[in-house]
Amino acid sequence: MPRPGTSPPRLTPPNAPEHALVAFRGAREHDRGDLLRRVAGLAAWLEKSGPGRWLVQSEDAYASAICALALIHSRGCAVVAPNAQAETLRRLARGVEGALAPPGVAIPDFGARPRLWPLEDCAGSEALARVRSRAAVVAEFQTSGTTGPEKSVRKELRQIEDEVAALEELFGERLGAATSIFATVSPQHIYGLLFRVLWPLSSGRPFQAETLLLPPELVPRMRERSPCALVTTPSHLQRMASGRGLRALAGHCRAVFSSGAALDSATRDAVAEQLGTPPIEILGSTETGGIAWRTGDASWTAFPGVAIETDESGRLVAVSPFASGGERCAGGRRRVATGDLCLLGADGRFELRGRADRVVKIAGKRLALAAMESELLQHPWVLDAAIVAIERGAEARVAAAVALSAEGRAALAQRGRGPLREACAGHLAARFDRVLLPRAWRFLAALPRNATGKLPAAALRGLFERPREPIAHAERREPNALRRELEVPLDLAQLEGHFEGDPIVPGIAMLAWVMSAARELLGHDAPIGCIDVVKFPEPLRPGARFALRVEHRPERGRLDFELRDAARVFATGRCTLAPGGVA
Amino acid sequence: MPTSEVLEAELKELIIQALALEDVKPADIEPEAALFVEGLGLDSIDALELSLALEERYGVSIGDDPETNRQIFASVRNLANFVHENRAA
Repeated sequence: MPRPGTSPPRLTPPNAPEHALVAFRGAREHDRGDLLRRVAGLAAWLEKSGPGRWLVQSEDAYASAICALALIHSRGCAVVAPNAQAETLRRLARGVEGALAPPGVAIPDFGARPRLWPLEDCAGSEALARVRSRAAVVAEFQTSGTTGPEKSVRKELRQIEDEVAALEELFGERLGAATSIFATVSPQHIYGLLFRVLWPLSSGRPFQAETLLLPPELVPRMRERSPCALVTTPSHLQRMASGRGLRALAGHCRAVFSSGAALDSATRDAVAEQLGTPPIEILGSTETGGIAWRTGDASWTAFPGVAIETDESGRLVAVSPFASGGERCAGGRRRVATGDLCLLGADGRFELRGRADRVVKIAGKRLALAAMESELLQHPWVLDAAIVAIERGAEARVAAAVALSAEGRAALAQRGRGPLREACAGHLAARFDRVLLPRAWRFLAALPRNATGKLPAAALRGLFERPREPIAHAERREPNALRRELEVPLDLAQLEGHFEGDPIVPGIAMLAWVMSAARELLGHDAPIGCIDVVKFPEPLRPGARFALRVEHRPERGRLDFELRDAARVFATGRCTLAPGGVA
Repeated sequence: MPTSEVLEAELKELIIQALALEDVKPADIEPEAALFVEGLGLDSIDALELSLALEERYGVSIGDDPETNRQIFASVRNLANFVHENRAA
């Protein structure tokens, strides 16, 4: 325990009692006395072992808090590893004094340098070293390198203290004093470290030490420690809200923070509906620190102390006390340009218009693809949208892939594709020159986004290469069989003229897909004879995803086929191959 | 096929579909092989996705104990046992 009269560590409330709850892990709790003993013990050990840069790998938020405070008080700097992969640790461990990581984490080429895990072996009686300058660099983070190679970003103590203070100023009242903070994000990224560790720590709110993602695990724990709040990301939140898993937290969860990417409007609305309060989105990056926040609407409000500017190409520029890199300004602030296009309002609030690097020229006019996407997203029929440059003849044009909302799907089913397309194009025509309007449209249940939410360019282009055919997700060849994972686009060509409120895919269309797969498998001049048997047990509807499999049975001179998903069979049958051919 | 094998086969298809696994076919998934980290190499978001798919398809929900849930999601066989024991008759 620190000697009487010693001031408490930075980033902790000055007058809290020893038994105040700091962190919890299930039913287990860590109080302030435990925290102070561990911080003092670790800080003394770090002082002895050699002040300097220390590798930190901790998925436990309580351990992260101990490491951060002890390094701050021992002339140390945390080199925060973004993951526990061997290559990451090998690279970051070059030039560090030692490591703070669980015993189970192997660090390649680490040699005999000191390492310690503060949840196991540190408790001390020494006094904390004197307070350091607020200008000291106390943490280094790694950027993910979305706009270039990975690089390391240094944060000074004052930046961390001031950003945490800004969060309390903005959201402290909304949270309330004793709210428990839960998180689905790692404490090894700046967003997680600030929101789920250092901000609760400094404001005296208890925080969850472990990280749980599955609603059946997370939700009962949050209810037990009501009132509570959640620190999460769009990809986690989207899945939690889609299972209606947040319902049980209504009246318990006071705030949900989301950062990392823009939250889609359907998830935003689902969270608001299930919890009774809209999620709070945070805009920021490792380099800029927190820039702005919003709840529910399109406009962002800058953090206290952060000024927003735009540069000559319309990009968002943050002049911020929390930023690293960029250009030095008065008052310890830095001016950092981001890659996002920004529309600055008269009231100082702003809207984002997508990435600045996606600009095409059509007939001499510049078009930011992202600007057109965000305009489309304003339409109630549109859930998600992507604009892509295509070549039609000699000229560059753009094409639009649109994922429809429930309302949009109803409109498609009732009115058909033409009116839907005209409505979307008409919506864009109010803002864009006619020559810029998309020349091809695809209407889908969902855009072909990958696990990280990004749209692979090839998948997007693939949508426009053939006229409104099934979307291929995967294909697998075996010696005698071919399996394709396909999705029926909402605007499948063969649905034209079949709109009766509940369109289904005509059997003849399914047979055409079978034939195309059969030709792929057997060669284009394969002597495919007649279809002997075919059944359509369940209707196949637009938006469905299914597997098409054709199998050649040479011993019987026939080809078997099946279209199905995990639960249902849409078509099954076989055709004969003419003798003398491949059979 | 015995019920348990049918269920395992269904679950393999469900995993492939729900997680949009490319270049994986049911025969590639061993019933007892690890699904997460090693084996298929699924991650925590996949677990979240899969738990939603199980609920939607079979009406079963996992409980609140992370260790038990880790066991349930450990392999197709464990998943099949869990679904078998918990789904509505």
